[in-house]
Amino acid sequence: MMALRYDFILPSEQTEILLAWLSDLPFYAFEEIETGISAYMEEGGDKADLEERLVQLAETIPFRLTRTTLEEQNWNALWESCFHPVRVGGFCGIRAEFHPPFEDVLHDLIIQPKMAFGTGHHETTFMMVSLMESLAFLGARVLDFGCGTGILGVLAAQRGAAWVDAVDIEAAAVENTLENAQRNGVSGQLAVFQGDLTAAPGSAIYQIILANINRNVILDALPALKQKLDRGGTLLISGILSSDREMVFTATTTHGFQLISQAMRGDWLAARLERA
Amino acid sequence: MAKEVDVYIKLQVKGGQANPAPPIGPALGSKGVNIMEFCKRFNAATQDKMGKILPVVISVYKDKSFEFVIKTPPAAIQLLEAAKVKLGSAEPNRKKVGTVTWDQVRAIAEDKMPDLNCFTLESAMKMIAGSARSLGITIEGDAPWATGESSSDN
Repeated sequence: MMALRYDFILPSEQTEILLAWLSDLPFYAFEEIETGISAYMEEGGDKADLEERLVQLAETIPFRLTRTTLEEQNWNALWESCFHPVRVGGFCGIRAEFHPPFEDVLHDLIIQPKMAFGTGHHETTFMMVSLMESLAFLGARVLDFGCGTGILGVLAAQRGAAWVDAVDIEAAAVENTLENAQRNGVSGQLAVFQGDLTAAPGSAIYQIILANINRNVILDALPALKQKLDRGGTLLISGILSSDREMVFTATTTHGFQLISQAMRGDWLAARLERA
Repeated sequence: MAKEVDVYIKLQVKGGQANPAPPIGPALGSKGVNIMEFCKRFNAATQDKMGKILPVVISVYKDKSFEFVIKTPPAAIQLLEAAKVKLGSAEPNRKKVGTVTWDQVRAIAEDKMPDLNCFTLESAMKMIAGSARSLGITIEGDAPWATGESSSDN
């Protein structure tokens, strides 16, 4: 993702007031700097409203402003260069190209994550991989919703899925999923689409849907996920805090999903659900 | 033994909107921290405060692990919320943009006391009242100290 940085130069006693007025503008993060405040937003989109608002603000809170476009870069490179491989029992090993292969696992996955999520280090990915061991992927059509590195989709393809569709709103994730599919020899069984759930092929019905995202996105998507899932099909979810367990299971039950099993690791929850 | 802190990173990030681009990416990435893990944890921890500016202090340890503390929104933002100011349409400073009560000022002062370098609640309330004036927010009624005995601190 390309980012824009707006540096507002103003006296320090004014920074909090300016920050408050900037809070409804499309900046996602701020950093106090010696000379004022830096605000960050995604590159792209119409900025006419934003610029108009900034002119208005400058009339009452005088500031100097510079804008800088920040080139996209793999900020995760340092971690990526020295991460430890992850083993999920005898089922799956996840490693980088520079690690020696796992000799004693069913699936030896090579994932180079760059700026995407999903290496097995995080509890949620670990549990999703673990829950996938007992699912029947052979011949199934699978959706990897919020694919990140594509790790779950790649594993599904290696487990014998007939076809995997993967979607993610981030361009970096789409690109990374394709790279990792190729790295693991499954690019002929997998397609990736950028966007939300509507980016997946409209008419496709899946036997298995994998969704490691977050509570809000999963709850909002439940009706659409139900439509996309075959009767008796399996939905694996994670990215949910254990403290939200009751709320999430109440919603999944309401939408016609039956809880088959659940796992918890650290603060996180993963669950296997079946469409009634 | 307690882990040794390498660096503290202080940012203000909107709830649910942490991403690996700057400023989070370079700040954490340069320390060898797994950026995506931070984003996943921050976004989950702030899922009920979507879009609100939240100060976060990230402690990065020498072993490349990290912890973070999310604070309540800055006082000025709490004031705008308390005054129910519609940000997009308000004209800062031009005119009165809204009103709050002294009870609301007190509540914000109590909430932000630890960050304000104030020794007494009264001095914290005066600071918040100053921010309210800068924002064009009027405070209803007399200051609690104006009606009784006033202390001389700031």
